[in-house]
Amino acid sequence: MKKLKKFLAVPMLLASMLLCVAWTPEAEQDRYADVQLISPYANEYIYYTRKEGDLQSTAGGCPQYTVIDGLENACGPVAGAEIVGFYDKYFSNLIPGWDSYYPASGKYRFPSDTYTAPVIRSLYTSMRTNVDDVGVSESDCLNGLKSYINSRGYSVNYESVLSGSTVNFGACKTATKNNKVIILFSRATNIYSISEEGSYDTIMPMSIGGLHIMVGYGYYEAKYYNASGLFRTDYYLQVSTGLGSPLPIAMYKVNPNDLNAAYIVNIA
Amino acid sequence: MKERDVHNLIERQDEEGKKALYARVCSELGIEAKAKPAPRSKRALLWRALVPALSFCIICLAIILPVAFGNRVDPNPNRYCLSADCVEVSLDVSIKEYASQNGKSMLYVDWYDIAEDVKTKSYVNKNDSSDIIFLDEYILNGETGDAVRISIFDKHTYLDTFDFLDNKTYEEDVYKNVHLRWKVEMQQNLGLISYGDYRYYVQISEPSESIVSILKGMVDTAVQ
Repeated sequence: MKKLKKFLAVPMLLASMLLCVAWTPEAEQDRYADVQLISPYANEYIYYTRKEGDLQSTAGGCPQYTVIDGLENACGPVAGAEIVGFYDKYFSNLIPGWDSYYPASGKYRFPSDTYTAPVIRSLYTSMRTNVDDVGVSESDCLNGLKSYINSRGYSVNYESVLSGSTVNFGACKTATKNNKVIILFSRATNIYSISEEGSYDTIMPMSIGGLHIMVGYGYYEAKYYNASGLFRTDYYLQVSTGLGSPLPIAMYKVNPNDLNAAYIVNIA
Repeated sequence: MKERDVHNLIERQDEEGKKALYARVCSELGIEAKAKPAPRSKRALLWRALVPALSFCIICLAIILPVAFGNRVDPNPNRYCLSADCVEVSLDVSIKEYASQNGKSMLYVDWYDIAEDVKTKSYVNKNDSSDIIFLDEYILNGETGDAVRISIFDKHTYLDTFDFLDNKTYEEDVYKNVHLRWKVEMQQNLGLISYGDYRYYVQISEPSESIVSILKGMVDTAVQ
Protein backbone atom coordinates (compact mmCIF):
# COMPACT_ATOMS: atom_id res chain seq x y z
CA MET A 1 0.00 0.00 0.00
CA LYS A 2 2.77 2.34 0.89
CA LYS A 3 4.45 1.52 -2.38
CA LEU A 4 1.21 2.23 -4.26
CA LYS A 5 0.87 5.57 -2.57
CA LYS A 6 4.42 6.47 -3.49
CA PHE A 7 3.81 5.30 -7.04
CA LEU A 8 0.75 7.53 -7.39
CA ALA A 9 2.18 10.53 -5.59
CA VAL A 10 4.57 11.56 -8.32
CA PRO A 11 2.07 11.41 -11.21
CA MET A 12 -0.48 13.25 -9.14
CA LEU A 13 2.07 15.90 -8.32
CA LEU A 14 2.98 16.23 -11.96
CA ALA A 15 -0.67 16.41 -12.97
CA SER A 16 -1.28 19.13 -10.44
CA MET A 17 1.63 21.09 -11.77
CA LEU A 18 0.36 20.70 -15.33
CA LEU A 19 -3.08 21.88 -14.33
CA CYS A 20 -1.65 24.95 -12.70
CA VAL A 21 0.32 25.77 -15.82
CA ALA A 22 -2.63 25.11 -18.15
CA TRP A 23 -5.11 27.09 -16.13
CA THR A 24 -3.92 30.64 -15.87
CA PRO A 25 -6.24 33.57 -15.66
CA GLU A 26 -6.56 35.28 -19.05
CA ALA A 27 -3.94 37.96 -19.23
CA GLU A 28 -5.56 41.32 -18.55
CA GLN A 29 -5.94 43.17 -21.85
CA ASP A 30 -6.17 46.86 -22.52
CA ARG A 31 -9.72 48.13 -23.01
CA TYR A 32 -10.66 50.60 -25.70
CA ALA A 33 -13.57 52.81 -24.77
CA ASP A 34 -15.11 56.26 -25.16
CA VAL A 35 -12.66 59.09 -25.42
CA GLN A 36 -12.94 62.83 -25.75
CA LEU A 37 -10.87 65.21 -27.76
CA ILE A 38 -9.11 67.45 -25.31
CA SER A 39 -8.29 71.07 -26.06
CA PRO A 40 -5.08 71.43 -27.98
CA TYR A 41 -1.73 72.13 -26.54
CA ALA A 42 0.59 74.70 -28.02
CA ASN A 43 1.20 74.41 -31.74
CA GLU A 44 4.50 73.36 -33.20
CA TYR A 45 5.98 75.35 -36.05
CA ILE A 46 8.47 73.74 -38.41
CA TYR A 47 10.42 76.22 -40.51
CA TYR A 48 12.17 75.04 -43.60
CA THR A 49 13.76 76.19 -46.82
CA ARG A 50 12.44 73.21 -48.74
CA LYS A 51 9.98 70.45 -48.11
CA GLU A 52 9.07 67.16 -49.74
CA GLY A 53 5.64 65.84 -48.91
CA ASP A 54 4.05 62.57 -49.96
CA LEU A 55 0.35 62.45 -49.17
CA GLN A 56 -1.69 59.44 -50.30
CA SER A 57 -5.01 57.93 -49.36
CA THR A 58 -7.20 55.07 -50.42
CA ALA A 59 -9.62 55.67 -53.27
CA GLY A 60 -12.47 57.78 -51.98
CA GLY A 61 -10.93 58.06 -48.55
CA CYS A 62 -12.71 56.29 -45.73
CA PRO A 63 -16.20 56.32 -44.27
CA GLN A 64 -16.59 58.72 -41.35
CA TYR A 65 -18.99 57.12 -38.91
CA THR A 66 -19.57 58.09 -35.32
CA VAL A 67 -21.03 56.55 -32.23
CA ILE A 68 -24.80 56.24 -32.21
CA ASP A 69 -27.17 57.04 -29.38
CA GLY A 70 -27.42 54.50 -26.64
CA LEU A 71 -24.11 52.77 -27.27
CA GLU A 72 -21.38 53.54 -24.81
CA ASN A 73 -17.68 52.89 -25.28
CA ALA A 74 -18.28 51.98 -28.92
CA CYS A 75 -15.06 53.05 -30.61
CA GLY A 76 -14.39 49.41 -31.55
CA PRO A 77 -17.78 48.88 -33.24
CA VAL A 78 -17.54 52.28 -34.95
CA ALA A 79 -14.08 51.52 -36.34
CA GLY A 80 -15.28 48.06 -37.36
CA ALA A 81 -18.27 49.56 -39.16
CA GLU A 82 -16.00 52.00 -40.99
CA ILE A 83 -13.89 49.07 -42.17
CA VAL A 84 -17.00 47.21 -43.28
CA GLY A 85 -18.23 50.35 -45.02
CA PHE A 86 -14.89 50.84 -46.70
CA TYR A 87 -14.78 47.34 -48.12
CA ASP A 88 -18.47 47.35 -49.06
CA LYS A 89 -17.33 49.19 -52.19
CA TYR A 90 -15.30 46.16 -53.23
CA PHE A 91 -17.20 43.27 -51.68
CA SER A 92 -20.88 43.61 -52.35
CA ASN A 93 -23.44 43.36 -49.64
CA LEU A 94 -21.05 43.63 -46.76
CA ILE A 95 -23.66 46.12 -45.63
CA PRO A 96 -26.91 44.47 -46.65
CA GLY A 97 -29.10 46.34 -49.12
CA TRP A 98 -26.90 49.41 -49.32
CA ASP A 99 -23.98 50.82 -51.20
CA SER A 100 -21.63 52.58 -48.85
CA TYR A 101 -20.32 54.89 -51.56
CA TYR A 102 -21.51 57.18 -54.33
CA PRO A 103 -20.80 55.48 -57.67
CA ALA A 104 -20.30 58.76 -59.52
CA SER A 105 -17.52 60.07 -57.29
CA GLY A 106 -16.38 57.01 -55.40
CA LYS A 107 -16.65 58.97 -52.17
CA TYR A 108 -18.19 57.35 -49.15
CA ARG A 109 -21.70 58.12 -48.04
CA PHE A 110 -22.61 59.72 -44.74
CA PRO A 111 -23.60 57.22 -42.06
CA SER A 112 -27.15 56.00 -42.34
CA ASP A 113 -29.57 55.36 -39.48
CA THR A 114 -31.09 52.62 -41.62
CA TYR A 115 -27.99 50.84 -42.83
CA THR A 116 -24.85 51.69 -40.89
CA ALA A 117 -26.43 51.94 -37.45
CA PRO A 118 -27.47 48.25 -37.53
CA VAL A 119 -23.92 47.30 -38.50
CA ILE A 120 -22.56 49.22 -35.52
CA ARG A 121 -25.09 47.56 -33.23
CA SER A 122 -24.26 44.12 -34.62
CA LEU A 123 -20.56 44.70 -34.08
CA TYR A 124 -21.28 46.08 -30.63
CA THR A 125 -22.66 42.65 -29.76
CA SER A 126 -20.18 40.48 -31.63
CA MET A 127 -17.26 42.42 -30.12
CA ARG A 128 -18.68 41.83 -26.64
CA THR A 129 -18.55 45.53 -25.92
CA ASN A 130 -18.78 46.37 -22.22
CA VAL A 131 -19.15 42.66 -21.34
CA ASP A 132 -15.97 41.88 -19.43
CA ASP A 133 -15.16 45.53 -18.75
CA VAL A 134 -15.65 48.92 -20.37
CA GLY A 135 -15.29 49.01 -24.14
CA VAL A 136 -13.56 46.22 -26.04
CA SER A 137 -10.29 44.38 -25.91
CA GLU A 138 -8.13 43.99 -28.97
CA SER A 139 -8.98 40.33 -29.33
CA ASP A 140 -12.73 40.87 -28.91
CA CYS A 141 -12.62 43.68 -31.45
CA LEU A 142 -10.81 41.65 -34.08
CA ASN A 143 -12.84 38.51 -33.43
CA GLY A 144 -16.11 40.39 -33.50
CA LEU A 145 -15.24 42.06 -36.80
CA LYS A 146 -14.18 38.74 -38.23
CA SER A 147 -17.42 37.17 -37.10
CA TYR A 148 -19.44 39.85 -38.89
CA ILE A 149 -17.42 39.60 -42.11
CA ASN A 150 -17.69 35.82 -42.08
CA SER A 151 -21.45 36.13 -41.63
CA ARG A 152 -21.55 38.12 -44.86
CA GLY A 153 -19.80 35.32 -46.71
CA TYR A 154 -16.28 36.67 -46.76
CA SER A 155 -13.03 35.85 -45.00
CA VAL A 156 -10.61 38.20 -43.31
CA ASN A 157 -7.09 38.12 -41.99
CA TYR A 158 -5.12 40.70 -40.06
CA GLU A 159 -1.56 41.56 -40.98
CA SER A 160 0.41 43.32 -38.27
CA VAL A 161 2.45 46.38 -39.21
CA LEU A 162 4.27 46.42 -35.88
CA SER A 163 7.61 44.65 -35.95
CA GLY A 164 8.91 44.41 -32.43
CA SER A 165 9.19 48.00 -31.29
CA THR A 166 8.95 49.59 -34.72
CA VAL A 167 6.12 50.43 -37.09
CA ASN A 168 6.57 49.12 -40.61
CA PHE A 169 5.72 52.35 -42.39
CA GLY A 170 6.58 50.80 -45.72
CA ALA A 171 3.89 48.20 -45.18
CA CYS A 172 1.44 50.98 -44.33
CA LYS A 173 2.26 52.77 -47.57
CA THR A 174 1.85 49.58 -49.55
CA ALA A 175 -1.51 48.92 -47.92
CA THR A 176 -2.73 52.37 -48.95
CA LYS A 177 -1.56 51.91 -52.51
CA ASN A 178 -3.33 48.54 -52.55
CA ASN A 179 -6.50 50.20 -51.26
CA LYS A 180 -6.51 48.56 -47.87
CA VAL A 181 -7.18 50.07 -44.49
CA ILE A 182 -5.41 49.61 -41.18
CA ILE A 183 -7.06 49.19 -37.80
CA LEU A 184 -5.13 51.03 -35.12
CA PHE A 185 -5.25 50.21 -31.42
CA SER A 186 -3.89 53.41 -30.01
CA ARG A 187 -2.80 54.51 -26.60
CA ALA A 188 -3.70 57.95 -25.32
CA THR A 189 -1.90 60.27 -27.64
CA ASN A 190 -2.25 63.27 -29.91
CA ILE A 191 -3.69 63.49 -33.37
CA TYR A 192 -2.85 66.38 -35.59
CA SER A 193 -4.12 68.95 -38.01
CA ILE A 194 -1.36 70.20 -40.32
CA SER A 195 -1.35 73.53 -42.12
CA GLU A 196 1.16 74.41 -44.80
CA GLU A 197 2.01 78.10 -44.59
CA GLY A 198 4.61 78.34 -47.33
CA SER A 199 7.86 78.58 -45.42
CA TYR A 200 6.68 76.69 -42.39
CA ASP A 201 4.16 74.11 -41.27
CA THR A 202 1.83 74.52 -38.32
CA ILE A 203 1.29 71.27 -36.46
CA MET A 204 -1.81 71.56 -34.26
CA PRO A 205 -2.30 68.73 -31.75
CA MET A 206 -5.55 67.46 -30.31
CA SER A 207 -5.27 65.04 -27.45
CA ILE A 208 -7.15 61.77 -27.32
CA GLY A 209 -7.47 61.17 -23.63
CA GLY A 210 -7.60 57.37 -23.58
CA LEU A 211 -7.18 54.11 -25.46
CA HIS A 212 -8.93 54.43 -28.80
CA ILE A 213 -9.43 52.46 -32.01
CA MET A 214 -9.18 54.25 -35.35
CA VAL A 215 -8.95 53.39 -39.04
CA GLY A 216 -5.94 54.39 -41.09
CA TYR A 217 -6.71 55.01 -44.75
CA GLY A 218 -3.63 56.81 -45.97
CA TYR A 219 -0.25 58.16 -45.11
CA TYR A 220 1.78 61.35 -45.15
CA GLU A 221 5.54 61.50 -45.20
CA ALA A 222 7.13 64.93 -44.76
CA LYS A 223 10.82 65.66 -45.27
CA TYR A 224 12.05 69.06 -44.10
CA TYR A 225 15.21 70.73 -45.36
CA ASN A 226 17.16 73.77 -44.27
CA ALA A 227 20.56 75.17 -45.23
CA SER A 228 22.21 72.15 -43.66
CA GLY A 229 20.11 69.67 -45.58
CA LEU A 230 17.48 67.21 -44.39
CA PHE A 231 16.88 67.92 -40.73
CA ARG A 232 13.61 66.20 -40.02
CA THR A 233 11.30 63.51 -41.39
CA ASP A 234 7.79 62.96 -40.01
CA TYR A 235 5.59 59.98 -40.68
CA TYR A 236 1.83 60.06 -40.32
CA LEU A 237 -1.12 57.89 -41.05
CA GLN A 238 -4.30 59.56 -42.22
CA VAL A 239 -7.02 58.32 -39.91
CA SER A 240 -10.76 58.37 -39.59
CA THR A 241 -11.14 59.13 -35.92
CA GLY A 242 -14.72 58.01 -35.36
CA LEU A 243 -15.14 61.12 -33.22
CA GLY A 244 -17.15 63.31 -35.58
CA SER A 245 -17.06 67.06 -35.73
CA PRO A 246 -14.78 68.95 -35.82
CA LEU A 247 -12.06 66.38 -36.38
CA PRO A 248 -13.52 63.36 -38.17
CA ILE A 249 -10.20 62.85 -39.97
CA ALA A 250 -6.74 63.69 -38.74
CA MET A 251 -3.07 62.91 -38.97
CA TYR A 252 -1.78 60.20 -36.64
CA LYS A 253 1.94 60.42 -36.02
CA VAL A 254 3.59 57.04 -36.42
CA ASN A 255 5.21 56.14 -33.14
CA PRO A 256 5.47 52.57 -31.85
CA ASN A 257 5.19 53.92 -28.32
CA ASP A 258 1.70 55.20 -29.14
CA LEU A 259 0.41 51.98 -30.65
CA ASN A 260 -0.53 48.79 -28.88
CA ALA A 261 -1.27 47.12 -32.20
CA ALA A 262 -2.01 47.90 -35.84
CA TYR A 263 -3.23 45.53 -38.52
CA ILE A 264 -3.86 45.74 -42.24
CA VAL A 265 -7.34 44.34 -42.77
CA ASN A 266 -7.41 41.94 -45.72
CA ILE A 267 -10.83 40.76 -46.84
CA ALA A 268 -11.36 38.11 -49.48
CA MET B 1 -20.18 138.65 33.60
CA LYS B 2 -16.58 139.36 34.20
CA GLU B 3 -15.63 136.61 31.83
CA ARG B 4 -17.83 138.16 29.20
CA ASP B 5 -16.37 141.60 29.87
CA VAL B 6 -12.88 140.22 29.48
CA HIS B 7 -13.95 138.35 26.34
CA ASN B 8 -15.44 141.52 24.85
CA LEU B 9 -12.37 143.48 25.87
CA ILE B 10 -10.20 141.05 23.99
CA GLU B 11 -12.45 140.84 20.97
CA ARG B 12 -12.56 144.61 20.55
CA GLN B 13 -8.78 144.72 20.22
CA ASP B 14 -7.06 144.65 16.89
CA GLU B 15 -4.95 141.72 15.97
CA GLU B 16 -1.75 142.95 17.60
CA GLY B 17 -3.64 143.99 20.67
CA LYS B 18 -5.18 140.57 20.92
CA LYS B 19 -1.82 138.89 20.76
CA ALA B 20 -0.47 141.11 23.53
CA LEU B 21 -3.45 140.52 25.75
CA TYR B 22 -3.30 136.79 25.11
CA ALA B 23 0.37 136.64 26.07
CA ARG B 24 -0.30 138.70 29.20
CA VAL B 25 -3.16 136.41 30.25
CA CYS B 26 -1.04 133.33 29.71
CA SER B 27 1.84 134.74 31.81
CA GLU B 28 -0.49 135.64 34.64
CA LEU B 29 -2.01 132.16 34.50
CA GLY B 30 1.39 130.54 34.29
CA ILE B 31 0.69 128.70 31.01
CA GLU B 32 2.62 128.62 27.81
CA ALA B 33 1.31 130.90 25.15
CA LYS B 34 0.56 129.02 22.03
CA ALA B 35 0.50 130.46 18.63
CA LYS B 36 -3.01 130.98 17.58
CA PRO B 37 -3.82 128.78 14.64
CA ALA B 38 -4.39 130.59 11.45
CA PRO B 39 -8.06 131.09 10.83
CA ARG B 40 -9.49 128.70 8.31
CA SER B 41 -10.97 130.13 5.22
CA LYS B 42 -14.47 129.25 4.30
CA ARG B 43 -13.25 127.73 1.04
CA ALA B 44 -10.87 125.43 2.86
CA LEU B 45 -13.63 124.38 5.21
CA LEU B 46 -15.86 123.68 2.28
CA TRP B 47 -13.31 121.39 0.61
CA ARG B 48 -12.62 119.56 3.81
CA ALA B 49 -16.26 118.71 4.00
CA LEU B 50 -16.74 118.00 0.33
CA VAL B 51 -13.82 115.67 -0.35
CA PRO B 52 -14.86 112.92 2.06
CA ALA B 53 -18.45 113.24 0.97
CA LEU B 54 -17.53 113.03 -2.70
CA SER B 55 -15.26 110.09 -2.08
CA PHE B 56 -18.02 108.25 -0.32
CA CYS B 57 -20.42 108.93 -3.18
CA ILE B 58 -17.96 107.74 -5.78
CA ILE B 59 -17.33 104.52 -3.91
CA CYS B 60 -21.04 103.89 -3.58
CA LEU B 61 -21.61 104.50 -7.27
CA ALA B 62 -18.73 102.23 -8.19
CA ILE B 63 -20.43 99.47 -6.26
CA ILE B 64 -24.01 100.13 -7.21
CA LEU B 65 -23.77 100.92 -10.91
CA PRO B 66 -22.21 97.69 -12.15
CA VAL B 67 -24.72 95.71 -10.15
CA ALA B 68 -27.65 97.75 -11.35
CA PHE B 69 -26.65 98.02 -14.99
CA GLY B 70 -24.36 95.07 -15.50
CA ASN B 71 -27.03 92.86 -17.01
CA ARG B 72 -28.26 95.58 -19.24
CA VAL B 73 -24.82 96.08 -20.72
CA ASP B 74 -24.28 92.39 -21.66
CA PRO B 75 -27.27 90.11 -21.21
CA ASN B 76 -25.51 87.21 -22.94
CA PRO B 77 -21.94 86.89 -21.81
CA ASN B 78 -19.71 84.48 -23.68
CA ARG B 79 -19.82 80.89 -22.54
CA TYR B 80 -17.22 78.20 -23.02
CA CYS B 81 -18.52 74.67 -23.34
CA LEU B 82 -16.87 71.27 -23.23
CA SER B 83 -17.47 68.60 -25.81
CA ALA B 84 -17.88 66.11 -22.97
CA ASP B 85 -21.05 67.99 -22.02
CA CYS B 86 -22.64 67.67 -25.46
CA VAL B 87 -24.93 64.98 -26.81
CA GLU B 88 -25.92 64.58 -30.44
CA VAL B 89 -29.53 64.84 -31.55
CA SER B 90 -30.58 64.22 -35.14
CA LEU B 91 -32.82 66.82 -36.72
CA ASP B 92 -35.41 66.05 -39.39
CA VAL B 93 -35.05 69.46 -40.97
CA SER B 94 -32.28 71.25 -42.79
CA ILE B 95 -30.59 74.36 -41.46
CA LYS B 96 -32.64 76.40 -43.89
CA GLU B 97 -35.88 74.89 -42.61
CA TYR B 98 -34.77 75.12 -38.99
CA ALA B 99 -34.00 78.82 -39.38
CA SER B 100 -37.35 79.45 -41.03
CA GLN B 101 -39.30 77.52 -38.40
CA ASN B 102 -37.55 79.29 -35.54
CA GLY B 103 -37.52 82.78 -37.00
CA LYS B 104 -33.76 82.91 -37.13
CA SER B 105 -31.51 84.47 -39.74
CA MET B 106 -28.96 81.82 -40.61
CA LEU B 107 -26.64 81.21 -43.52
CA TYR B 108 -26.53 77.83 -45.23
CA VAL B 109 -25.01 76.06 -48.20
CA ASP B 110 -27.78 76.11 -50.77
CA TRP B 111 -27.26 72.69 -52.30
CA TYR B 112 -30.57 71.30 -51.09
CA ASP B 113 -32.09 71.04 -54.57
CA ILE B 114 -29.15 69.04 -55.87
CA ALA B 115 -28.16 67.28 -52.66
CA GLU B 116 -27.81 63.55 -52.68
CA ASP B 117 -27.77 63.49 -48.90
CA VAL B 118 -28.33 65.92 -46.08
CA LYS B 119 -27.70 65.17 -42.42
CA THR B 120 -28.49 67.81 -39.83
CA LYS B 121 -27.82 67.46 -36.13
CA SER B 122 -27.90 69.56 -33.03
CA TYR B 123 -25.45 69.16 -30.20
CA VAL B 124 -27.19 69.96 -26.94
CA ASN B 125 -26.29 70.27 -23.32
CA LYS B 126 -26.54 66.78 -21.84
CA ASN B 127 -28.21 68.25 -18.76
CA ASP B 128 -30.63 70.46 -20.67
CA SER B 129 -31.77 69.32 -24.10
CA SER B 130 -33.25 72.74 -24.84
CA ASP B 131 -29.80 74.28 -24.60
CA ILE B 132 -28.29 73.98 -28.06
CA ILE B 133 -24.52 74.24 -28.14
CA PHE B 134 -24.19 74.12 -31.90
CA LEU B 135 -25.80 72.86 -35.09
CA ASP B 136 -24.06 70.64 -37.60
CA GLU B 137 -25.02 69.90 -41.18
CA TYR B 138 -23.48 67.65 -43.80
CA ILE B 139 -24.57 68.13 -47.40
CA LEU B 140 -23.44 65.98 -50.29
CA ASN B 141 -23.70 67.69 -53.66
CA GLY B 142 -25.27 65.14 -56.02
CA GLU B 143 -23.76 66.82 -59.06
CA THR B 144 -20.16 67.30 -57.97
CA GLY B 145 -19.80 64.75 -55.20
CA ASP B 146 -18.55 67.48 -52.88
CA ALA B 147 -19.39 66.96 -49.23
CA VAL B 148 -19.45 70.02 -47.02
CA ARG B 149 -19.86 70.24 -43.27
CA ILE B 150 -21.15 73.38 -41.56
CA SER B 151 -21.04 73.91 -37.82
CA ILE B 152 -23.04 76.86 -36.48
CA PHE B 153 -22.55 78.51 -33.08
CA ASP B 154 -24.33 81.52 -31.66
CA LYS B 155 -21.87 84.35 -31.25
CA HIS B 156 -21.60 83.89 -27.47
CA THR B 157 -20.86 80.17 -27.43
CA TYR B 158 -17.49 78.48 -27.79
CA LEU B 159 -16.57 74.81 -27.65
CA ASP B 160 -13.23 73.37 -26.60
CA THR B 161 -12.81 71.08 -29.58
CA PHE B 162 -13.29 73.96 -32.00
CA ASP B 163 -10.56 76.07 -30.45
CA PHE B 164 -8.04 74.77 -32.91
CA LEU B 165 -10.12 76.12 -35.81
CA ASP B 166 -10.19 79.57 -34.23
CA ASN B 167 -6.46 79.56 -33.67
CA LYS B 168 -5.38 78.95 -37.26
CA THR B 169 -4.07 81.61 -39.61
CA TYR B 170 -6.53 82.33 -42.41
CA GLU B 171 -6.66 84.24 -45.63
CA GLU B 172 -9.26 86.99 -45.52
CA ASP B 173 -11.61 88.91 -47.74
CA VAL B 174 -14.78 90.95 -47.47
CA TYR B 175 -17.85 90.08 -49.51
CA LYS B 176 -21.07 92.10 -49.22
CA ASN B 177 -19.69 93.63 -46.04
CA VAL B 178 -19.23 90.19 -44.53
CA HIS B 179 -15.78 89.19 -43.35
CA LEU B 180 -14.72 85.85 -44.83
CA ARG B 181 -11.80 83.73 -43.67
CA TRP B 182 -10.57 80.57 -45.31
CA LYS B 183 -7.67 78.15 -45.40
CA VAL B 184 -6.61 75.35 -47.72
CA GLU B 185 -5.08 72.51 -45.69
CA MET B 186 -3.72 69.13 -46.49
CA GLN B 187 -6.79 67.11 -45.59
CA GLN B 188 -9.52 69.69 -45.95
CA ASN B 189 -10.43 73.25 -46.77
CA LEU B 190 -11.72 75.44 -43.97
CA GLY B 191 -13.86 78.53 -43.89
CA LEU B 192 -15.07 80.85 -41.15
CA ILE B 193 -17.86 83.42 -41.28
CA SER B 194 -19.23 85.63 -38.53
CA TYR B 195 -22.58 87.01 -39.56
CA GLY B 196 -25.38 88.38 -37.43
CA ASP B 197 -25.89 86.30 -34.33
CA TYR B 198 -23.86 83.32 -35.49
CA ARG B 199 -20.44 81.97 -36.29
CA TYR B 200 -20.04 79.44 -39.06
CA TYR B 201 -17.29 76.85 -39.48
CA VAL B 202 -17.16 75.26 -42.92
CA GLN B 203 -15.15 72.13 -43.67
CA ILE B 204 -14.85 70.42 -47.05
CA SER B 205 -12.42 67.87 -48.46
CA GLU B 206 -11.08 68.12 -52.01
CA PRO B 207 -13.82 70.39 -53.27
CA SER B 208 -14.46 70.89 -56.97
CA GLU B 209 -15.16 74.56 -56.35
CA SER B 210 -13.11 76.84 -54.16
CA ILE B 211 -13.90 77.23 -50.50
CA VAL B 212 -14.21 80.97 -51.10
CA SER B 213 -16.92 80.35 -53.66
CA ILE B 214 -18.80 78.23 -51.14
CA LEU B 215 -18.49 80.92 -48.47
CA LYS B 216 -19.75 83.60 -50.83
CA GLY B 217 -22.64 81.38 -51.73
CA MET B 218 -23.53 81.16 -48.06
CA VAL B 219 -23.49 84.92 -47.71
CA ASP B 220 -25.81 85.13 -50.70
CA THR B 221 -28.41 83.15 -48.77
CA ALA B 222 -28.69 85.92 -46.22
CA VAL B 223 -32.12 87.50 -46.07
CA GLN B 224 -31.77 90.97 -47.51
